Amino acid sequence: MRIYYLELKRVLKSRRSMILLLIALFMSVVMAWLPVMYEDINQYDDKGNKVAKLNGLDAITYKKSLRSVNNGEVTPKKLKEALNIYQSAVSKYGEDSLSSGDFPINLYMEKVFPVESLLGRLPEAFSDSKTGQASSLIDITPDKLDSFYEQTVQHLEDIMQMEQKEHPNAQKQALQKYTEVETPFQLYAGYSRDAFDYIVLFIFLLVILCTAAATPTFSNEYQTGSDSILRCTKHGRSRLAMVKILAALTIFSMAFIICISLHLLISNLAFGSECMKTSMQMLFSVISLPALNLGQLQVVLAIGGLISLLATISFTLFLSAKCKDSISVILIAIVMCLLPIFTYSAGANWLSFILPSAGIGMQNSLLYQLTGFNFLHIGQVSIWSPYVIMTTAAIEIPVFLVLAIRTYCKHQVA
Amino acid sequence: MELTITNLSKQFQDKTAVDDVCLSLTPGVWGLLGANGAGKTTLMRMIADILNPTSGKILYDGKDIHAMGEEYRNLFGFLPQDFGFFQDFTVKDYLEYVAALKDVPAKETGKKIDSLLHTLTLTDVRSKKIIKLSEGMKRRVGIAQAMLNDPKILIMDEPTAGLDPGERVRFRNFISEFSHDRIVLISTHIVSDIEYIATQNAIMKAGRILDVGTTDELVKQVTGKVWTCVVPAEKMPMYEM
Repeated sequence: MRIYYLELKRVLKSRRSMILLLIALFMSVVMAWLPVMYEDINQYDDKGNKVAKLNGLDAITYKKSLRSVNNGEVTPKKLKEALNIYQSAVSKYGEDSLSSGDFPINLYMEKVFPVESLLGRLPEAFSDSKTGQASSLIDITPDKLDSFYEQTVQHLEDIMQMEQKEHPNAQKQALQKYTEVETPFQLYAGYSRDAFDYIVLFIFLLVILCTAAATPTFSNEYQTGSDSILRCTKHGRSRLAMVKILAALTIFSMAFIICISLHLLISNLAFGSECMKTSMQMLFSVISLPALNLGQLQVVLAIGGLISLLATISFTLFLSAKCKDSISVILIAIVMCLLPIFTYSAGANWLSFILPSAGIGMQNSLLYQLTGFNFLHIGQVSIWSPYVIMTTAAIEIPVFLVLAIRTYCKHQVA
Repeated sequence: MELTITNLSKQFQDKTAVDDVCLSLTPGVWGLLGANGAGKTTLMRMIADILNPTSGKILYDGKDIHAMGEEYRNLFGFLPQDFGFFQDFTVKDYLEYVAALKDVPAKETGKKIDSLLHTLTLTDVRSKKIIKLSEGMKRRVGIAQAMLNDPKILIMDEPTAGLDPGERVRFRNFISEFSHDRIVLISTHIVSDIEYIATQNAIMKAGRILDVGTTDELVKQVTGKVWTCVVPAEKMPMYEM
C-alpha cells in the first residue's frame, strides 16, 4: 500500500502526466460545449420577418419550446396527426421547396419545424424493401402509421436480408435483439446527434492522452537507467511492476471517469436532462438494436470507453515494459490507437474489432457499431460487433497486464 | 558470509565481456580494478542479478542468488555507474520511494534518510528536485539510496565519479566504517580511491580476473617492473612515442 501511494505520488508529480491530464480536463469542457455552440435558429415574427438569430443555449431553449408539444410517447396516433399537419402544409408548395427556400418561413416554423423531429425516422421506416431507399414524407400514407411499429420490424428484416444475406443466424439474432426494444418509442426533443459524435470524439481524445501519459511507465526508467537501482531492491521486480500498473490504471481510470462525467454533465445540462429519456431509435436509426434511451446510451458509451481505455493502456504498458526507448513506445502506442480507424476503412472489420482500441474512433467506434449491423462470423456462429469489441477488450486487459509484468521482470539491463 | 562467483561468463554477440571469472568475496572492502572496458560493470550487473550470465553461477552462502530472489535483494545495495532519477522528485521523495521498495519500515525511514543525508552532506538539498542538483550531489544521492537498507552486500560501480577531492575522502572514511562485517565491492579505474581502504583487490582485464590480493601484495608483484622518472619539460618530445 505504501509503495502504491508513493507510485501514485510519483506519477502525479510528473509534469508530463499533469499537463496531459489537465489538457484532458480542459477538453472535456470544450468538447461538451462545442455542439452547444453550433446550435442556431432564426426567430421570426408573425409576418415571417427575421427577428433574431439565436445561438447556443438560447437556440436550444427556443427549439425545445417549439417542439415540446410532441414530447412523450411516439404513438401511431401522434405520428398520424403530425404527418397530416406536415402533408397539409407541404403538399401545396412541394417538398423540394423546403430545401430550396421557397417555402413560407412562418408556415415552416408553425407547422413543419415542430413535427420534424417526430417524423424524422418515418422515411427510413418506410424505405423501399428492395433498395433501402428512404421514402419521402409526402408519399407516406398516414393510415400506414397505424402499423408503424410492425413496419420497423419489417424494415429490420429487409435490411438484415440485404446486409447479412448469407448469415441467417445473424438475421435471427438481430430480430431477437430488436424484440427487447421498448415500444412505443419515447421522444423528448432537443438533444443533438452532434453531441454524441463529440462524446465519441472526446473518448478518442481521452484514450490518446492517457496512452501518451502511460508510455513512459517502464521505458523511461530503462532509458534513464533508474531501473537499474529499482530492480535491485527487495520489491523491485514483480511487486513494483504490479504497483506501477495498478497506479497507472487507477490514475487513468479516475481521469477518464472524472472527464467523461464532466463532459456528459455539461452536455446534459445544456441540452436538458429530460432529453435523456428519448429512445435511441428516435435519434439514430429506427431499427437500432439496443433497447436503450439516450441517457443509458451515454452510460454504455462511457463504460465501453473505459474498457477500451483500459485495454489500450494495458497494451501500452506491455509495450513500455518491452521497449527501451520511450519515443518508440509512444509512436507504436499511438499507431495502435489509430489502427482500428484505418483497418475499418480498409474493410478489415474483424481486425478492427479485436484490436485493444477497437471501441474508439469514428465509424468503427462503439456508438456506430451499436447503431449498425456488423457481425463477426466464425463458421456458423455470428457475433454482433459491439459484443466482439467489448469481449476482446475485456480479455486483452489481463492478458497484456500479465505480459507487462512478465516482460518487466525478465528485462535485462544491458 | 561469502559471495562465491564460479566460472562466470557473459557473451554479447561477438564479444566476451566476462570470461570464466572465479572469485570468492568475503566481508571487507573489495576493490575491483581495471581499465575502461575490462568487464567490471558487466560483472557487477551479474552480481546485482540484473543481467543473466551466459554461464556460471553466483552463490551467496551456498545459495544461488537468482533463486534467492527477494531474499538476496533484501541484503543488497547497488550503485550503478550510470543511473537516472525521477525528474520531478525531490531528494527526500526519491529516498522515501526507494526505502519503501527496500521494505525499510515506514517509522524508520525518516530517521534513516536524515542520517544518510547528514553523512553525505545533502541535508541542505533534501527538498530540492534531483534534476537541479550537481553531478556530485546526484552521485551522493545514489550512494544514499544504496545504503538505505543497511545492506550486507554493497556493490558500487565507479562511486567516486563526479565527486570532488574532499567528497572522495569523506566517502572513503564512510565506506571504511560501513564495511564492518559486510561485503563491499567497489569498482574503479582510479587506484587511489581504494588503495587505503580495500582489504582485498581484484584486477580485471579483457573480462578475466588477472590477480587477487591485498594492495601491498599486488604492489609487491610489480616491484622491479614499474619505475617512476622525472623528465624535464624541454626533453619531453624526445620521449614521446
